[in-house]
Amino acid sequence: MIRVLAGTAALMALAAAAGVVDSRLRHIQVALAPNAPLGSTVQAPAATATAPARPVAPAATTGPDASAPATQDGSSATAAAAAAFDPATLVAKQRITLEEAHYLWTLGDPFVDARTRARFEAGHIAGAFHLPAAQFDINAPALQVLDPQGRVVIYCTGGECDDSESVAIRLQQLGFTQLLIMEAGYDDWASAGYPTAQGPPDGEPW
Amino acid sequence: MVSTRCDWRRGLDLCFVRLVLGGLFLFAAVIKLQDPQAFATAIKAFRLLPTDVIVWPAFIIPWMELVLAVALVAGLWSRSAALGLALLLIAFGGAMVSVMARGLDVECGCFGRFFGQKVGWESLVRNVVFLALAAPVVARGGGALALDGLIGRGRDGDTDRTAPGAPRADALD
Repeated sequence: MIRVLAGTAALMALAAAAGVVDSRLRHIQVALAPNAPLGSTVQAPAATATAPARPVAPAATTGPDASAPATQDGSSATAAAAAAFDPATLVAKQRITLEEAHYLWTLGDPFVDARTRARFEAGHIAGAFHLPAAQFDINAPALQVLDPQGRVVIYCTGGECDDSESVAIRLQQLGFTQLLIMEAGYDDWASAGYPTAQGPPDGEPW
Repeated sequence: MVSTRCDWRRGLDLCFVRLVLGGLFLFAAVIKLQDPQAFATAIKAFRLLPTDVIVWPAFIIPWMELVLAVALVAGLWSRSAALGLALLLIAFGGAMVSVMARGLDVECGCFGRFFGQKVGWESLVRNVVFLALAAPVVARGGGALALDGLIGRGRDGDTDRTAPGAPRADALD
């Protein structure tokens, strides 16, 4: 029995040594790094992604843009909200609230849903792309469209869910520098009455 | 454990177990080694370790699976390899129980991108089944088609090259 245990210890020690060497050779990122610092000017939203017209949210919203008239791109509402929400500040903060995320949504920033496919199709933030954390695929259609130099807001189910952070880490490794994580979940967004949609992501067949 | 006459038959069932269990772990190890980032994410979801140290098991566990699986499939140090895999399985089982007790919704991460499965009773039962497979090899050795048998009598006290039917030297110490 001693011999068997010694053999086990030897095999595992050998493997552990290989693992340590491997970890030095191949780097992985376990935690989310801060976003790259911005200049003082407000960063334009991602130009590559075809942002749908994003009207200001219906009356369910309270806040600085509630009284402004709805326009094609919400620009006057944007000006009113800009005093409260500065995109540069939000990018520096990285983790943002539901209202802050919605503000960026009205600016046309792309949203990424990190949940499973089933949950995405059952209901997602209107216009959101789908990059599930569990099966992150670097060949995903969303990655062809998202601009690494632009802002991207990622969300999942909220609360303890860290899928959005997992996806954010992956995106950082792909060169994205303006990642924001909406700490609230999809259900909070839907409860607030903000725009949602069902079915597969835009541009993908049923 | 008393040896019996039908050693070669016993050897075949052990050989079968070695190939199945070793093969599964080999597959799992290769998948994890191809994408250590994904495995690290899976470990993180279990919320058992602080983030700073996750990089170690993210690499060491797959390498252990690989080394032990190769040894098991080849039948080299079969009992030791099977024991090592059994220890890993016990550790995984403990982690699963912890996750289930805390009510977390976690993907197993056992086979990477394939067979994405939530940690629950099904994964726990599978874990126990694997343990049950490993047990006879730990107890009795590699069986048929094992390098242990070629190298000579019982490096770790298992198969030797006596003819089938002859009493086997028991080396369970």
